[in-house]
Amino acid sequence: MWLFREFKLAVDNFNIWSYLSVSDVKNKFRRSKLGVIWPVLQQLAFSLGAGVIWAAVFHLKPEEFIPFLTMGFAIWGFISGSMMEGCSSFVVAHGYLKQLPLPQSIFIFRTVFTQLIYLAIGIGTALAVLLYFGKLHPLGLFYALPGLLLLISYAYGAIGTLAYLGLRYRDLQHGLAGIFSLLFVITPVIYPAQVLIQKGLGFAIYMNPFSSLIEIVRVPVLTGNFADGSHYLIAGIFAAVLIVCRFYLGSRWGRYVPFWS
Amino acid sequence: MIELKNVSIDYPLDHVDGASLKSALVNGFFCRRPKANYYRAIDDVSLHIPNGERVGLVGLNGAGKSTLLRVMSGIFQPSHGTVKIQGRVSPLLDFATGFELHHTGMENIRIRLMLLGESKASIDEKIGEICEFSELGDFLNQPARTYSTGMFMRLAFATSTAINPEILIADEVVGAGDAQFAEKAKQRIEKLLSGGRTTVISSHSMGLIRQFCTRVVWLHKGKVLLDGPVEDVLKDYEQRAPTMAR
Repeated sequence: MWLFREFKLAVDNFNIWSYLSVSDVKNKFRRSKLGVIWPVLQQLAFSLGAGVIWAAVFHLKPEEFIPFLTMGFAIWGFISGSMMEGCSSFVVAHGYLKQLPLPQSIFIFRTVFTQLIYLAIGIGTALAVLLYFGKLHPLGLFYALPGLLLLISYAYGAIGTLAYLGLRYRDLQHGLAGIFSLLFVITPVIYPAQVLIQKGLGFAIYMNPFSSLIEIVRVPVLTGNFADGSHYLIAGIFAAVLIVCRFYLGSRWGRYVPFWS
Repeated sequence: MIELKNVSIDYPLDHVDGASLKSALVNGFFCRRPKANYYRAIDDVSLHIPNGERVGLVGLNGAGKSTLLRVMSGIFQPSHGTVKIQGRVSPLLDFATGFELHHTGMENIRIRLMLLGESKASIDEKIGEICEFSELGDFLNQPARTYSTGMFMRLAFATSTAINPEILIADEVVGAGDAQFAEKAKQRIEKLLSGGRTTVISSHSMGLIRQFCTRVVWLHKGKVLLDGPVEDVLKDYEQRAPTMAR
């Protein structure tokens, strides 16, 4: 019921939130001449630079490791960006929320879509790198679709939940920044999960839903096969929990949002 | 049609600036539950505004006029009582806020009109007139953060008043900008107010209310003190209000 109403809101207000998102992205890069090439360059520089060094550290082949790293980095950017930017979804919209009778979901969809645009840029860059190293699997993207859907569901749930929490607790975003720099290290973004599993630390992978979220997209793109079933299960449960939290907070705190804005 | 039945608004005070997570965690750790702190901004108000009626809202500062207008716009949900709104409301509350400073003037016009519920076709039709009215010229393609105060007000005013709502709710609408613009703005407001639509305006300008309203509601300390024909209420208001305690 709630999900259906939410879906209808998204369709009815599509031109509002998509316009807000697209102009958010455009404005972020408007001041520079290179525009949207910047995030691409940034990602390439990181992946190639870090890829060459870490491949040496972890004793991996650069042509295997660099595509792996680029994909992981693109997905991680989406995962952490959703949480961090989710916190300010309502905070930055306070002018609208206090002046106009609008469905709050518009500002959740706006952040989801903005993050999706960045994800598309990131994955596009990664695919180019894969192509360059001859690692692009023709059916990889197709196999990644279920994982991508789960990843987007996660983003919706996380952004929706944190929109309310971030408005209520204004210091949440700073707190999360610290947590995510730790998560970046313990989640297999920059090193293969096997490294930990071989050392007997596999539980750190399976206890961490963020590693499942990465694997369900990265494994199919790199290998042209589905990821391990447990990863889909963990990611699905994680996304479902976040979506339930989003609706719970929406029903309990929704009416306070204009007051808190 | 707007109908309020026994509406009260408890304004939450302790979260106004957004409480911090740190203090919440500390309180949780010591099992302290800070008592919720509310201010009753609207106290048991019942009003019925039929279609086409033009109502003026008067009262001292802090009487709850803006809060009541937000309730009538559907922005604030009542803490007690029920609100029924039939028709599309376009509130003109504080039109200088709610603009994206990093977006261009043109983008801001589009966003605001979309949020006010205008369709794409009607936006395309109106946007030329708005640009001309705002007198911003080439600045419309610059980010709004580069605007002067006067330019910003002109953009906000031109956009927010370009609508054609079923129900108009306006909070202290006054002209913006220099003498030249103020005259243009006044005409535009008068045109907006003289349409046959349901209208609720709050104002400290008795002249404006006498000119446009057919009914006046006097709000005092969140309660309706008087409600009736314009002259009856305003005479009483002008006599008693200056000496009343807030």
